[in-house]
Amino acid sequence: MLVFEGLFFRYSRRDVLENITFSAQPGKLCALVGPNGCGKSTLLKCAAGVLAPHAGAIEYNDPASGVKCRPHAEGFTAYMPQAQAPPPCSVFDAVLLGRRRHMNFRARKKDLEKTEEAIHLACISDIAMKRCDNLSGGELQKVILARSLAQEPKVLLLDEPTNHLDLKNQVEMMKLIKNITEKLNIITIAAIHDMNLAVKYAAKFVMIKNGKIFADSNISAVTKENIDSLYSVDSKIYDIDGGKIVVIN
Amino acid sequence: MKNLEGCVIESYAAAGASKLITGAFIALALFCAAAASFLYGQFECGPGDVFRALVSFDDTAGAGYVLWNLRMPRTLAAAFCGAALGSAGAVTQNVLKNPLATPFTIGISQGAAFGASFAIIFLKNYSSASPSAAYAQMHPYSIAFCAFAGALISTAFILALSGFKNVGPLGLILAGVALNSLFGALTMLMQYFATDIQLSSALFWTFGDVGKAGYGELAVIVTVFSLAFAYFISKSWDYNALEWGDETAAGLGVNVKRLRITTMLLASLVSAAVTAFVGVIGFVGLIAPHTVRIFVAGDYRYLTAYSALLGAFTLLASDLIARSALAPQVLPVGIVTAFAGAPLFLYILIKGDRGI
Repeated sequence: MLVFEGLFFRYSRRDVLENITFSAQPGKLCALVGPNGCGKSTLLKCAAGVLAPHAGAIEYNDPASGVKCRPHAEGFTAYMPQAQAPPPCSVFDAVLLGRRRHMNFRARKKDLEKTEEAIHLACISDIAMKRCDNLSGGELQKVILARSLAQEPKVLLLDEPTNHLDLKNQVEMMKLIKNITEKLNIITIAAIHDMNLAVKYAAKFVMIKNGKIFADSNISAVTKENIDSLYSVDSKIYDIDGGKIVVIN
Repeated sequence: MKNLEGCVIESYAAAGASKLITGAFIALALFCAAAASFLYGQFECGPGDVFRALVSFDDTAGAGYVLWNLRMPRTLAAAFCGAALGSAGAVTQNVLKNPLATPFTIGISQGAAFGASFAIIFLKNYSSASPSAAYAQMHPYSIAFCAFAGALISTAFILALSGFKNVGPLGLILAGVALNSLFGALTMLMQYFATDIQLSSALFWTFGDVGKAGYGELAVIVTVFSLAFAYFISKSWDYNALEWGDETAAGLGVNVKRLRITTMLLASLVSAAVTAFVGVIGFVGLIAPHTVRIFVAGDYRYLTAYSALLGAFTLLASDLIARSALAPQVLPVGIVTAFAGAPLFLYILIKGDRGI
């Protein structure tokens, strides 16, 4: 379980995160939703160790093994930032980079095998020798997901993994993330903008508004009242085929 | 989707092997250039003489004297200065996120020129008539020491700035521009009040020339270079991570700030050592890494070492041209690298697909 306990973060006097407290379970995709600038990315960066929170704690604990620790310090987290221009390296090298903590200079056999495994998990073995700067947006996101998997994470942190992707790739990416979360039984927290993608694939919803937790629940948190208040919109929620669909008027 | 199960690692190994072959080619070119540098000169001697002198360590007469006292220090200086500038350029471009960055970007060369001018103008009485004689008359280390100190002032200022405030890569480059301009102005101010001889000595110093370095100077350059190079190589994966941006690197466990500062410190130190002893040699730190990038893309496991090899080759080849173009007159190698470098660099920019 990953526990956020009273997390505070500020960028030059402006509070970006205020008293964030929630927990995420392994095997269940947790969607982080909220309007632009609400603090989703900052929260993920704090968990990934990219930013240091000003107060509060992030703790990983595993009741089965009795492990309790700061997940980033132990190398338990893998973080996928928002999409950006890739350098001109090969896909294999990009994924191998996930093994950085385990390598000195040379990649050992185990590192290569873990890399190959991650490449197969992310379904990108057909582009493994291509150069990253020649890939489409969808392929590139999968490469970065594969690199995160090569880190053998216990906590997977994804910042808008479906941004800039077309419909088919959005769905493929979300399916992949959901399957991996369940198959490897890891804790996955993903910041997602598209409510319908979140509704379809996530098992838990953490809504953030102005740096504070607004709602924290399962699918029952997706109500007209919550969506309207969160995004200042007028929405309708329909039940279709046993699932919910969010429509904005 | 094609099923390529199991053969991914094999194709990766093949790609790695082709990169090693590139390295072998550069090493071979470097070896040939070094051999040519041993053989070429005003003193006529065949390969046999040179080889015998090389293996016998006899520096008393004939080919042995010329080899061990003139050609060997010159060749080693060209190779190590080139290697230092090439590898320092490669890592600087990474941590400053700028394909045109070299340690000179943050004010090393102007700082060194300021120090050298200071030493030449204020620390020496000129009785001799010709600038090169006056230059030769000075204590060999006083100019180098002041040039090194000048370069270190630039480095210290930049590092203090990046530690004091959260200055990113662009901030470092802008601070370098400011420092370059400041030191340039100070140097010109000193030169304005200098005598003709002092002025020409100061100018003469700025022409990079690998013939200036003897074994003592070489020892300093090699020591500083070896330490910095060992660090650069040991951080290969961190540089690869940083190619993906600060956040990705931090997420992978890289201490980005420490890496950036240590790298700039070491790259500045090697460039300061090179500049202090042989003068300003431009373009090697740009040409070598960008040529290597064509073959190994952005992989720092190869890029740093190959940039060192190719930098060494570039400077050796340039020095051969400098020695032969207007023989028996020997040109300063800095002029050749600038001459050959500018068009070659433009060619790489136009042909390259990196979107620089």
